[in-house]
Amino acid sequence: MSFFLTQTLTGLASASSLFLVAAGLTVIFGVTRVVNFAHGSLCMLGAFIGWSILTRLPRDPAWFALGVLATAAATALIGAALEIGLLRRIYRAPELFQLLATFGVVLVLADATLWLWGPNDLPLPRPPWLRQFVMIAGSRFPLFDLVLIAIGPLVLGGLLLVFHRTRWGVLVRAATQDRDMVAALGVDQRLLFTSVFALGAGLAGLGGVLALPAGSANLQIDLAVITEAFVIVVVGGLGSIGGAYLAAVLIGVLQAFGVVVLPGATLVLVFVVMAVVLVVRPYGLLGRDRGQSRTDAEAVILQRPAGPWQITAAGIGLALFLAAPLLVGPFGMAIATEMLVAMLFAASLHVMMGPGGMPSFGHAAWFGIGAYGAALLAQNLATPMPLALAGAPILAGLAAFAVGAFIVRLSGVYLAMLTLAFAQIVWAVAVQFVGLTGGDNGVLGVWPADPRGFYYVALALCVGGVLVLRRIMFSPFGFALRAGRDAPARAAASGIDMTAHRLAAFTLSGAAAGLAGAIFTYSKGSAFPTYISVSHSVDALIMVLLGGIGSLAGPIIGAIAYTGLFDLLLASDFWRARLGAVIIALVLFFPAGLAGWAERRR
Amino acid sequence: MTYLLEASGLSAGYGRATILDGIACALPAGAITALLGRNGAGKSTLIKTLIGLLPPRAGAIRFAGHEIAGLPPWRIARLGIGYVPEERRIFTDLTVAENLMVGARAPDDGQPGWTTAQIFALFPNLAERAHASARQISGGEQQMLAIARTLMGNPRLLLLDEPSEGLAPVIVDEMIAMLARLRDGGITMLVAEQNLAFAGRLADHALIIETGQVTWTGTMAALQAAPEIAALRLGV
Repeated sequence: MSFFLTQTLTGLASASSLFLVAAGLTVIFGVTRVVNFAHGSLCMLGAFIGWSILTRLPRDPAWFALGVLATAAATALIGAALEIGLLRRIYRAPELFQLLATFGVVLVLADATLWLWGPNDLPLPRPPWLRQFVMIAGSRFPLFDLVLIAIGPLVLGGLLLVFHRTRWGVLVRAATQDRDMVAALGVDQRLLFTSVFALGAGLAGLGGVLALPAGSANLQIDLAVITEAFVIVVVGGLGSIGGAYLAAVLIGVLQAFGVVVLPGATLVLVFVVMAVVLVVRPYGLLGRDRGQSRTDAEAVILQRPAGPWQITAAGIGLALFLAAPLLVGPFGMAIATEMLVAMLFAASLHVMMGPGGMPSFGHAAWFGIGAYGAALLAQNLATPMPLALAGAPILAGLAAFAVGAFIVRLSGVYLAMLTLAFAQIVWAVAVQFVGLTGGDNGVLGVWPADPRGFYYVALALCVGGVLVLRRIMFSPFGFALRAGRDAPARAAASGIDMTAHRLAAFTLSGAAAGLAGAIFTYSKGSAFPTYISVSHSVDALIMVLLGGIGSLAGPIIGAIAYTGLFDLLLASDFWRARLGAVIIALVLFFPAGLAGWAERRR
Repeated sequence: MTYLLEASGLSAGYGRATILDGIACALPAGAITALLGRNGAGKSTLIKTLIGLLPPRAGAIRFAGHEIAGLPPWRIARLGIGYVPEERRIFTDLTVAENLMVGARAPDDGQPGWTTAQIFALFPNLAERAHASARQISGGEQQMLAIARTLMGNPRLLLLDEPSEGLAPVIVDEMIAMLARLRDGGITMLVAEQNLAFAGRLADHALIIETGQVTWTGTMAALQAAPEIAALRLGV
C-alpha cells in the first residue's frame, strides 16, 4: 500500500512540471497554430536562468519563491521577443516551415546556452528546507515533491480562472476557435499573440526552474522536454489545458510505476499509452478536430516529371558518381557515399511529405531501424551483407507499417509531432538497451568484405531505390495518393481508400529510409544513436525543403547541396547556431524552397 | 446622396482565381443596400474584402474619410465596420455573454456605445440564454447572437452575409423588423442576399454583381418595378 501511495505521489510530482511545460505549448498552439519546437529550449533556459538567479539569492523559501517568479518573468520576456522577432513573420507560412523555423531557434538557443553557461551540468545546491522529508504511510517523501504536487492543480486552476473570468482570457479562447473572426471584431491580434506566447514561455520557464531541485540545469533538457511535452499535448488534445493536465498525470504516474516495474521500458510504455489513446480518441482525451485552416497554401504542390534539362543533369551527375573512385581520394569517396545515402533518405521523405502529404519530423527513426537492423543482423546472427541489406528495409517497413497504422489518418501537425515522438523513442531504445545496441558506443565493426566494391553496391542501391520510388509516384498508386492529399473528400468519393494509400506510402517511405540506413551502416562500419537523433530527422527535412517539395529533383539536389554545406558548417565551433541561423533565414526569405524561388524568378 | 463607403477598381481572389474584377460600388449612408447576385458571383468575396479578411489585389476603399484597402481586419473593424459572416461563426466554446464580450469595444469618439443591457433588450431571447453555451442555442438565436456580437463594437456600417439563410419565416420577420430599427438608429448596412423577396422587404437600394462586376445599381423600388432586370441578371 505504501509503495502504491509513494509511487503515485512521485508520479503526481513529475506530472506537475510536465504539465507546466505542456500547458504553455498547448496554449500557444491553440491561438497561434504554431507548434513551438523551441518550447523545450525555453524550459531549458528557465532552468539555467533559474540556476543563475537562485544561486545568488539567500537560501530561504521566500527568496526561492521570488527567484522562481523572476525566472518565469524572464523566460516570458524571451518568449515575447521570440514572437515579435520571428514567429509574427511566419504565421501565414505552411506548418512545416513554422516547425522548421522554431527548430532553428532550438539550435541557436542550444549554442547560446552552451556559450553563456558552459558545457557542464549545473545542479542547484539544496538548502536544508529543500532536503526535508515528510513521513507518508511509513515512508520518507521529499517535501518539495509535495509542493510540486500542489503547484500543478494551482496553476491549472489559475489558468482556468484567467481564461474564464477575464476579457483577455475570453479573447484567447475565442481566438483559439476562430482567430480570423476575432480580428474581424476589432481585436488587435498582434498584442493577443505576443501576450499568449509570453504566457506560454513563462510557463515553460516555470516548469524548468521548478525541476531544478530534483535535477540540474543541463543542455539535454530542450529535446528531452519537448518530446514529453509533445506526447502530453497530443494525448490531452491540442489546445486543451485540462487535457494537458489529465495527460500529464496519466503519463507522470505511469512513468513512476514503470520505472519500478519495467525499468528501461518507460518510454516504450509512454508510446503504447499514446497509441491506445489515439486509437480511441484520435484528437486526444479532451481535444477536438480543429480542422485544417491552411490548405490553400499547400494545395498547389504539383508533381512534375523531369524535363530534358533535368535528365541531362542527372546523367552527368550519375557519370560523375560512377567515375568518383578514379577522381577523388578516400575522403572524397566517403563524402560521395554520404551524398548517395542522403539522396535516398531525402527521396524517401519526399514520398511521404510531397505526394503523401504527410509531414514527418522523425524520419530518422526508419533510417535508424534500418541501420541498427543491418548492424545487429550482421553482428549477432552473422548474416551475410546482401541478406542484411535486404532485411533492413523489411524491418524498417514493418515498423513503419505498425506505427503508421495508428497515425496516418491524423492531420499535419499531429503527424509531425507523433513521428518526432516515435523517433525519440527509437533513439532512447538505442541509447538505453545497452545489452543489445551497445548504448552510446554503438554497434561497431560492420564492414563490407570489399570496401571499394561496396561503393558501387551503394551507388546501385541508392540510385535504383530513387528510381523505384519515382516509378511508384508516377503509377496509378501515386496519382491516387496525390488526389487524396489535395482533395480528400473527392478522392474518397471516387472510391479511393485513402487510409490504405497513405499507410502504403508511409510503409514504402520507411522501408526506403531503412535501406539508406543499412547502406550507411556498412559504409561507416558502425551504427550509432546519432543516426536517430532529431537533428538527423531535421537534416532530411532541410534537404527536401531546400530543394523544394514540388518534384523528386528537389530532395536530390537538396541532399547533395546540404551534405556539402554541412561539412563546411561542421568544421567550426557553434555549428548548431550557424545551422539554426541558416534554417531561420531560409524560412524567412525562401518560404517556397530554393527550387520554388528559382521558379518564381524565371 | 452621401456615401459612407465607396470602393473603386477593387480586385480580389483566391490563389489563381480572380473573383472580384475591378468592382466599383458605393453605399448610401443611413440606408440598407442589398447585395444581389447568383451563387458564385462574388457576394461573400466582396464582403470579406471590405472587412479585410481577404486583402484586395488592387483598388481603393474609402470609408468615412479613411482609406481602408489593405488594412488588417481589426483596424477596419475599429474604424467602424461590423461583419456578420455567412456561417455565423459564433464562438461555440464560449457562452452567449462571452461572445458579446469578444465583440465589445467602446466607440472611438467617446460617445456612449451599446451596453449589454441594451443588446439584451433588443434580443430578449439572448438575455434568457446569456449563460448558456453558444453551441446549445438554436440556429435563429445563433444568427441573432452573430449580429448582437458585432453591434457590441458600435459599427457605423454593418456587413451582413446571407442573414436569412436557414431561418424559419417567423424568425426572418423578426430580423427584418430588428434590422430596420437599427437602420433607423443610423446604422448603414450592406446585406448580401440570394432571396429577392427578403431583400425587397428590407433594403432601400440594390447592387447586382455578376462574375465579379457590378452590373446594375439603383433603388430597390426601381428593381422591383422592373422584374425583367431580376430575371435577366439573377435568373429569378
